[in-house]
Amino acid sequence: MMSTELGYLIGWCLLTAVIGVGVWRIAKGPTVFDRLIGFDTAMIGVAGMIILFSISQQTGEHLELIIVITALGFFTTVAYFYYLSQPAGKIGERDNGGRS
Amino acid sequence: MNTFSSIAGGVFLLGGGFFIVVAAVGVLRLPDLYCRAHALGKAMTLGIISLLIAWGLLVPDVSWTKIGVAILFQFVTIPVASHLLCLVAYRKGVRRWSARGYIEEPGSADV
Repeated sequence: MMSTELGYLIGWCLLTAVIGVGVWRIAKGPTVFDRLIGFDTAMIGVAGMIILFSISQQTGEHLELIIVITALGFFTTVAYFYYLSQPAGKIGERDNGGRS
Repeated sequence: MNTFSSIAGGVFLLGGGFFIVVAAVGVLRLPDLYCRAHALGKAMTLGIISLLIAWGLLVPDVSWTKIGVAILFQFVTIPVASHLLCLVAYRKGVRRWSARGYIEEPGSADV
């Protein structure tokens, strides 16, 4: 039983490191796409943390939470890419910036 | 819970953790945007699917139908997001890494 708790502790540390990598990539990344990669990494780290918590508590009640978090991350990413893929003239701030 | 599902669940749990850590190292250390997206889209998907299978094997009162739906959702969303990221980045002209140095696209823009 002692080795099981040690394994869970190592898993918590590794997933915290994964979320830390995501946050570091958000802070560091040269382009905005790198920041989105960091966002996805942190989101998947949170999903892995939920799975590890559910296994350690022997419960299956958080399965819908996995689906909801995945859908939230995916729709956030798709909406931001739709914003980025617009031509430069259509984005309001840049269109306004040159004239007044 | 019998012995087989316990051992198989432990193996899947260790494998999932290993692949998620490998993907995080790739996101941290690879030199280029496209390489990082490749590390995110492949290794991260495999790791999270292994963790979900381990959840189904180790916890007795969880239904395999919901596990299957969650696996399908991960399997659809993460590679699609990675591919979309590479597509928009290539159209924007983000620089690429090669063994001889970085390749600048002609219509390169500061994003």
